[in-house]
Amino acid sequence: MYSIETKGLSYRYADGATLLNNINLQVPVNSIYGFLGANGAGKTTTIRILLGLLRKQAGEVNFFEKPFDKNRIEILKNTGSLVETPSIYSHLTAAENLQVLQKIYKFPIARIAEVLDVVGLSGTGNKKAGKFSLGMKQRLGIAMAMVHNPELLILDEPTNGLDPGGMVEVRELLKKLNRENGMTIVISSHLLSEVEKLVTHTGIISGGQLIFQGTLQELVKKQATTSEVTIVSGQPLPCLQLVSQFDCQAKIDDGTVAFQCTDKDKIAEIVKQLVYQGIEVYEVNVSGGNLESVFMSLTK
Amino acid sequence: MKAYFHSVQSEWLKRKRSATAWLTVTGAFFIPAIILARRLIQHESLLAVNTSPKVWEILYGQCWQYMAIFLLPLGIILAASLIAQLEYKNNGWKQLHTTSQSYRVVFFAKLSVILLMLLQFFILFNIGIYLTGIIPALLFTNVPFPQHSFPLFGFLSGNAKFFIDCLPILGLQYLLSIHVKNFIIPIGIGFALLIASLIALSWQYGYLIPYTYCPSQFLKTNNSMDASTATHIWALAYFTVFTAVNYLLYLGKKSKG
Repeated sequence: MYSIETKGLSYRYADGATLLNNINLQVPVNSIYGFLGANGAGKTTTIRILLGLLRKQAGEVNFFEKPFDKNRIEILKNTGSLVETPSIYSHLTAAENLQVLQKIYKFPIARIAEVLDVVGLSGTGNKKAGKFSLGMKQRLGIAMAMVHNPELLILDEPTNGLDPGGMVEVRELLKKLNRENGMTIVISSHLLSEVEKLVTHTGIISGGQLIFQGTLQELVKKQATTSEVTIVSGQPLPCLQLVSQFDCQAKIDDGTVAFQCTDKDKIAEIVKQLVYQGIEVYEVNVSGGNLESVFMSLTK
Repeated sequence: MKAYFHSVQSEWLKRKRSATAWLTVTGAFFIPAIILARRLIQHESLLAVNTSPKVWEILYGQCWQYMAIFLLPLGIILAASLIAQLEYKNNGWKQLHTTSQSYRVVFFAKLSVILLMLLQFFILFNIGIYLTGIIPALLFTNVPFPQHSFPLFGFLSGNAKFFIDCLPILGLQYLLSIHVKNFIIPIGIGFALLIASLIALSWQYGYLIPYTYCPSQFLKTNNSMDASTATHIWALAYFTVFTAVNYLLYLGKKSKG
């Protein structure tokens, strides 16, 4: 079952330029879904359409297997969101900002102190939110998204403006919400490194198209296609022949032998054999091979 | 209906400590405070005024004179713009539109808060008029308390007419302020229409301009508008039309935050 599922979601500007093209998102229940893409790839537009902030032009949006259009209020009751910069009433305190939502959702008033404590803002007292640092505002934005204890949390670049310590705190908080409350979390980011330790599933958007969607393990498998080993040798031809014996498709490029391999033991064995057979090895380089490079190669 | 009341509570909380809240309070007491200051300075002449059977009508007229012609329309123009600015300034529209409320509830809760603030303004303004009458008597022994009882019914009736007459201003300003992000534009249009309405008071068909009803209510005998025109009906009709158009435009907005 999916918490969010879109089918053929597309969006064009008034001048006809395509912003989103046939986006088929599938966010499994209880997952932490990393929605990744470079700046301007279409992440925020997708999220705004999902939440009804931008009118959908083509395609379907379903939450909890129900069409959003026909079940908007019921769906939003179970959904918390933070889209880009947090919506914070700067003349109110942190607690008052949450009270604004308490009046609507009617959750117990004690929940406000509880959530402020969770996001580390319990000591802000009468300080107006307008005087908060960027990180504090971001944390208040997260508190506002989760205060009504939704089943689904949609966070658009929630760690913007946070220092490394704050980023770790937010990550731990999201993991805890997912683990203990079973909350499904969609988190958008332009940095895979920021969310790779957090997410269970990923969707990668580039130029308005969803170019990858799957589990983190499936993304890891893609490493093999992006990881490249290059060997600078005085005898490239024998080197190529030896590498080919290890089931690696190698090629000679400008006197350098290049092949794709993620198995570190296999690379070590190849180097060992090259030396053993007296083939001169001047340099061995391994490029890519991490998730960030996979992401970069996909979004190029 | 419950969702609507919850939404009004939420909207009412948002205006706490905001410029709009301060504007309502200071605006309501501004004219009574000036009249009171004048009465305190000229307290020796208050014996005749406070014993006059028309003391409350005199105070009512003095306070409403400046309020109806300029300050009340001006206050509504500013208040309606500032209420919408609370959302624009704080990136609040997207948060508001992703809460579990229908667009109808959001729209009418916001409108209700502006109407409630106008009501609050009227109540505070009338308290101000009352205080203007009694404070000199509390401070000076030679000044008697107003000899005649406070004409509550007359005040309520007069206030109700002013309230209705300023609804078109509120309706149009609310429309402009929620559809135009730059608050200078609705305020500028409001000012221009207010000035146009003051000029139009000397025109037979001035009642066609929706901002004329409030000043014309005070200047009943001092304008050239057709006296037989049911201005309160016109005011209600304009308010209804502005609100309906506003609501339809709001529902049709492509981007809601």
